[in-house]
Amino acid sequence: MSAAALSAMWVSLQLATLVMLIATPMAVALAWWMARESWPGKALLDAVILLPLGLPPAVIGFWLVAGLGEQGAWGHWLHHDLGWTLPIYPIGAILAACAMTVPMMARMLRPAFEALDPMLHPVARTLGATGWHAWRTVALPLTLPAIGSATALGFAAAWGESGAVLVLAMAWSPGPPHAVGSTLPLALWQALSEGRSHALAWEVATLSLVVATGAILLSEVLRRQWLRRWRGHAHWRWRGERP
Amino acid sequence: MRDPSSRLPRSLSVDLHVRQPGLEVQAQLRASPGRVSALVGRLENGQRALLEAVAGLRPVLSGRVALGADALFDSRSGLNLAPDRRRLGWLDSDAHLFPHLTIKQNLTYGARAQGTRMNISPGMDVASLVKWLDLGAMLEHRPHEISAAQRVRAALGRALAADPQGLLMSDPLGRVPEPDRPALLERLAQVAHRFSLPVLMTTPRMDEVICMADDIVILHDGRMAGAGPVSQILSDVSLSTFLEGFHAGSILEGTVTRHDIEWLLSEVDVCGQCVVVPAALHPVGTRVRLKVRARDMSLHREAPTDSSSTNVLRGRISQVMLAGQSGTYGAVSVELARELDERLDFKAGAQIWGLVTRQAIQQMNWQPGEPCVVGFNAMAAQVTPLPWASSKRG
Repeated sequence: MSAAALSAMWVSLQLATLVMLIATPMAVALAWWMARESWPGKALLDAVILLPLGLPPAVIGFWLVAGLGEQGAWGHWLHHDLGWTLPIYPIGAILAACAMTVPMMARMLRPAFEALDPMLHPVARTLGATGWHAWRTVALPLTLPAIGSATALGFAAAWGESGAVLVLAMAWSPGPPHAVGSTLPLALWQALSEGRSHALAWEVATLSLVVATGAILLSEVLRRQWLRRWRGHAHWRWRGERP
Repeated sequence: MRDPSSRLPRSLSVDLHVRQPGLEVQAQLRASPGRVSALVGRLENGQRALLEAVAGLRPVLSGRVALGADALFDSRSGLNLAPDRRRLGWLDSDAHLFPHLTIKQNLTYGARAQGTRMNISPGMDVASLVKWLDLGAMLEHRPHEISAAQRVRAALGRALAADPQGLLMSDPLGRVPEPDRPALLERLAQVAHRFSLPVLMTTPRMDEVICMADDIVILHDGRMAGAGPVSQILSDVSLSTFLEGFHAGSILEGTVTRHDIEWLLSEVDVCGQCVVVPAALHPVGTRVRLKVRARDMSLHREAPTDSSSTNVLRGRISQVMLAGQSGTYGAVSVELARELDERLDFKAGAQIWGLVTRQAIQQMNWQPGEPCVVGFNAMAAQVTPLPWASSKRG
């Protein structure tokens, strides 16, 4: 395997791991909050949170550039007043990948929280548990497989996230992206656009396939485990019920 | 650390205004330690919403909830303690045991959650609760492996093991199959007295109220339609009819005096008069409640000599009125004679209602103040021990 492919894989791995660490707590918090009781206008907010799912990733990248790039509204202020420019790697790429993965994970986790018996948390509170303790000891263990499943899929998505990152890369450095800081998809794009190393493209594509397959398999296994657990708990509601 | 004096049993007083979709509920009720107040209505009339509000699980429009002199919620001063600071145990028909924990872990959840804040009172420890609730065989099982009645018992144990200062029960037997109910009901009826807790409960079944409650508050359309001791309220023909319809009747309180082994009958002293009922398992001296339906009563001027009515109670008519929709029949209230035993103090007044046709009222010309004899079959009486009486036995 070539050094370029290995380096791209290393960058992608770092990026996906960081994104996973940031996106998982955010997605869990969002899903828990979205699954709770509704109030007027909540549907609109839900839609805004899920919006990135329906947008082309390139548009997310464009908005990040428009907002935080050197010419962007906040980017300008950051650059001139604080003397800081958003680097594409790692912060730009992480932001782009998070914007794509958090809504997806939240959407995946929401049914898990909605399936929880809504009285478990209140009952835990009446037993003397603080809100955080009740959440940590009741909701979290009951949804852990679902969270694992969403995290694995989020990892795969962050690993392969290319649209937004490509736009960022194009906007930041008009030339080909630097070798350092190019993720797997960027390396693939680079290899193809330079039209010289198809071998590298193949290597990169195969690596991506392997990683994505692994992550998605893991996600499925955990999802099944959660479903089994949930069904196991659900069936007793019907046993011993009044005829 | 909690103030040691807070361990003393305190009464729970509630005065709340709660909104739920389509209904505003407003009610005052109070339960002393060891006593049970039942919140009932013909339909689900916001009873559960009110209990949830007491526990702090639902927003409240206005009002006050207090344990003794300490407010848990007070809309005027803006005080609103979180559910974990209120320490009111919750029990409802779904039990809501934590499905990922074993029964043992469920029982000890409160202690773990409260950590050092816990200040267990004697008799509240898990081992004695396990014994009393007969949970020993299922400690290592998970909630989905045990029966509905066992889940309710485990949930009761979990609530008690968290050392609550009061208990809220919302239709606790709702999902327990009919055959399992009596045994569970007997335990539930003992809880308040055994642990010196104030208990508020709701249930759609009046036999559970008769078995468990000392006081009763009737909710209709979110308003209080009546409140008072169970025997008084459920012996009021209009309230009783409102709640129980066809099964409306009276509650008589008395003491078991004798068991007839030959005929398998028991005798109960009510206001110094003897009532014969089918053999009850309650020992002599047990205070019991007799529920008789108003439509099973027959009214006579003299004690009938040739009748299947085993029981005749002497009294005088206190009220004659028309009942039913547009007065299709009559309701006659009879005050039971009590000159035979002055020692019994029935503040509520032993009163018995009979439903008769308009024709019977006309023909017999019943007038208030007239002496009268109420007859009923032994099989018409339903016997339940008074809540605190059954706890003394257990």
